[in-house]
Amino acid sequence: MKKEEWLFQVSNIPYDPDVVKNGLRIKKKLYFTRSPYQKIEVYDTLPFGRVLVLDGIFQTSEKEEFIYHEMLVHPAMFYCANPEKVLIIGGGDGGVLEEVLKHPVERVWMVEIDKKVIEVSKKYLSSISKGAFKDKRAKLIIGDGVKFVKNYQNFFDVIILDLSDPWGPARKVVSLKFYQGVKKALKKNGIISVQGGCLFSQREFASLVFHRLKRVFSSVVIHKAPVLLYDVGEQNFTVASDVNLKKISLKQIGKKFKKLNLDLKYYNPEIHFASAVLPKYLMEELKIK
Amino acid sequence: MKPFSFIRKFPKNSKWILEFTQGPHSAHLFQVKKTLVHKKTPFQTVDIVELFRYGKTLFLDERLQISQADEFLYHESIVHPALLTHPNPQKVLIIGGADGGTAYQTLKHKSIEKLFLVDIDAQLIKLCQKFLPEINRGVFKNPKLKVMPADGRKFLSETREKFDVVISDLTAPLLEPPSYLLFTEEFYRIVYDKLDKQGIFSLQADGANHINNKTFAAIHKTVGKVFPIVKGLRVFIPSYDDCWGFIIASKKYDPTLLEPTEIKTRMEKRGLKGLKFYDEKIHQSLFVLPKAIQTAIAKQKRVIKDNKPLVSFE
Repeated sequence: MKKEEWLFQVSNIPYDPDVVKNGLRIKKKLYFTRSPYQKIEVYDTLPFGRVLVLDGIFQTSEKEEFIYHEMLVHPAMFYCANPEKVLIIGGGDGGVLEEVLKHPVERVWMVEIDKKVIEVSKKYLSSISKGAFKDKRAKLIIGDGVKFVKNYQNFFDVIILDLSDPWGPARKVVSLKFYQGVKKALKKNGIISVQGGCLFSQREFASLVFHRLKRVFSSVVIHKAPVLLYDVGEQNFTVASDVNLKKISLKQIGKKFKKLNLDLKYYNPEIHFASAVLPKYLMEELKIK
Repeated sequence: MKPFSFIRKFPKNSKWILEFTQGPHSAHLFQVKKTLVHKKTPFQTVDIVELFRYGKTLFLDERLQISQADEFLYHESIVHPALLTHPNPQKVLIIGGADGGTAYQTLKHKSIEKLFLVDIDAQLIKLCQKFLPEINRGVFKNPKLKVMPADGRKFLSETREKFDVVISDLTAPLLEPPSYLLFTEEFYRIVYDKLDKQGIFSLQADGANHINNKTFAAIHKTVGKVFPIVKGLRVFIPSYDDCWGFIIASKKYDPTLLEPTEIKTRMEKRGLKGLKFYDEKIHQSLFVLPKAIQTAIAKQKRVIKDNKPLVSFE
């Protein structure tokens, strides 16, 4: 096995004991740069097609992005009765934006701190955003999401946090203060959806997200889905609201799903409910009652 | 096992194992704390090592089989959904399963009177008994368990016993040892014949993720040639870093129609306690397969035969 054919995920992250490393066989390194915020790389890999790597951590891939993006977007969008105004923080690759725009929304704001990630994604990962950046309903803002939400009150129906893990540029966005700010920017029945790390290797992170959201919102639900690109474990998508999310029935979701008839590959009403069933051992590990 | 060290950043003297997962183009590196066993048996190479993240872990021919940290996910999933679908399982056969984890979970059901464990590799059973007590938890001393080192297919063809449940807890289909003959339509017909009228067959059935699911779909298709009811389920197993597929084949009862209240009643009646993963709340959710996997099953035409076998990593 030749060294240059393989790319191993380098993890310097505090929650990772650094004892399992994922590796992908690569065809070609397509791009490398350092932005003011992070190291950005794009590789063409054999198992997952093109892969975006930020600070050495695999972020998204052509072949598998749909699982992550659909599960971060659609549970929240289907819980919400009528999402018209949506805010995305992060999400530079455009995958979340593309999923949100599948719904009949009025307007989507996307606030990404690193302009370079958007440029690189538009150029090398256009199969992920599929032209979403050109949609007239999308408003792109290069800036700090923490500051941005401070300008809004009782405004958004859904807010989606598609951020890299909370070290590096995304550090501030797991704070209680930020979640309180998000809540203020949301309408009364608004919904927030957060990528919350891997449920096996980043349990402290997952637990932190859950319990901080629980202090701010009355209803918090974890959805899970396998994303094989990431460091070992099912990916955690945490949705929170002051609406009782657990009271929304399969029938309600099913009706809406049928009516909207979106072009989806992973999410559907059955997956919606199955993905929210957490096994006992995880509830104990995450200290969820 | 071959240690792995081409990455310069690794700390000096640290030992790593490389394992290919989800096909030949992705891999994992596990850091080794301690090597416990490295032995060639007449059938395979056995390595039992202690990994930093997963604790004691069994490798056969350099393929990760089971780890201390997450074995309960695998063993609870291969045993309980199937056993609870049966109204009163008394006689059960495990083919493979040398580590003893499946036997341990099976004997948690008080209804079991007799359990047979047939694994081809006697030395492997001994090594697991000695080095993996955290997984088999003394099950080999249970008087209800009869361990027989033998070829599973030969045993099943010759036995006069009838079983309520048969569990196939095998390695991936390989030429050497010849486990591929335990993944064919001909073999599944033998299983069918040795099952009681309401008999149930539970199998581990390889990875079932949207990139790699051909083996899972082919096993599903082949079992469906023999049994009237065939249902797939998936469980994420961290040490495999994969959504693992299991299949329940049944003559009479459909596992997906089992109601949570009935599961709860059966669990209580059988004294089934101390589970970490499986319960009545999770049962139905395991059978919800994403569209890509359903399509792979529907489109799969391949029926695995003795003369047209399926071999992993071919």
